[in-house]
Amino acid sequence: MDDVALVNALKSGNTNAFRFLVDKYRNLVWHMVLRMTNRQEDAEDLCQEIFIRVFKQIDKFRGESKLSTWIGSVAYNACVDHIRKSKREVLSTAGSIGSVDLAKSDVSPLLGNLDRNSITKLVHRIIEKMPVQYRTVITLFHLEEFSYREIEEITGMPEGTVKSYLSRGREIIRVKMMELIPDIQLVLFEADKC
Amino acid sequence: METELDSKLDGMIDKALREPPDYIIPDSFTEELVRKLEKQLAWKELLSEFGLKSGLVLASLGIMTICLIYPAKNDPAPFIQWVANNRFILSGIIGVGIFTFIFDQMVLKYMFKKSGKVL
Repeated sequence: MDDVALVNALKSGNTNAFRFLVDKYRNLVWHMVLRMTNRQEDAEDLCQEIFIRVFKQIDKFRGESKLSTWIGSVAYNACVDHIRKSKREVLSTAGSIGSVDLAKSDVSPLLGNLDRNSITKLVHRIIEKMPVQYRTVITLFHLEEFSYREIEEITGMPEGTVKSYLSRGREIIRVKMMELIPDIQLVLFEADKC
Repeated sequence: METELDSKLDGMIDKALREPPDYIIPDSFTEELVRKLEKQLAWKELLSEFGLKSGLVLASLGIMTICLIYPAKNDPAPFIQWVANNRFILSGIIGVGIFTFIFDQMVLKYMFKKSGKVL
C-alpha cells in the first residue's frame, strides 16, 4: 500500500490501515522518542500517544510533504510537549555547547574492551548527554536518513542551524572520544584488523 | 597520519550514528495500540450516538409537554392539579424510561463492544 492509499484509508477511519501505518513507521517514532526524551520508561506511552495523534490529525495532512516527514513533525512536537511538561530538560535555543558532561567513570565498562560494539555504545552515550536539539538532528539525519530540508520541515529549525548542529555534534563526539580514549589511534587500527 | 586517523575516526562515528538505540520496541506494540484506538473510537461512537438519541428523546418530550400544556394555557389550574395528583406515576414512568434508555443504549452497547460482539 503506498502512502496516498494509506492516507485515504486512514481518513475513512480504517483501523487496518492504522495497523499498517504503525508497522511501517514505528521505528521512526520509537527512535525519535528514545533519543529526544532519553527515557525508555515513557517511550512506549509517548509512541502510542503520537500514533493516536497522527490518526486524529490525518485530515490535516495535505500531501505537500512525505508522510514520514509529517509523522516526524507530529512526533517532534509531541516530544517537545512531553519534555516541557516533565521539566526534566531545558529546551534552550542557544545552541552552542563546548563539551558534554560524561566522565570516564560513567563509561568505564565500555572502555575496558574496545571493540566496534562498545565504540558504538560509547558514541550513543555521548549523544545521550548532548542537548535535545543535537540529539534530534543527529538521529533524523544519520539514523532516519532525512535530508536537511526534511529536518527543517520536521523541527522548524532553519537549514543552516540543522547543518551547524550536525557538524558541531560530530565535532563534540570526536573530541569526547579522543578525551575518553587517549590511545584511540591504536584502537582504530586494531578495529580495522578485525 | 593525522588525516588518516581523522577519516578512520569519522568512519567509525558514522557507523555508530547509523546504529539504532539499544532498546527495541516491544513486539506487542502495534496490536496493543490498535486495541486502544478501537476502544477510543467505540467510546466516541457510543457517546455521539447517545447524544443524538438523547436529543431526539428530549425533543419529543418537549413537544409532548407543549401539546399537553397548550390546550390548558388559559386555565392551567386543572392541568397542574392533575400533574400534582399523578406525580408518582408520572415520575415513575419517566424514571423507568430514562433507566431503560441508558441501560439499553449505553451499558449494553458498551458491554457488547468490549466483548467484541457486533451489534
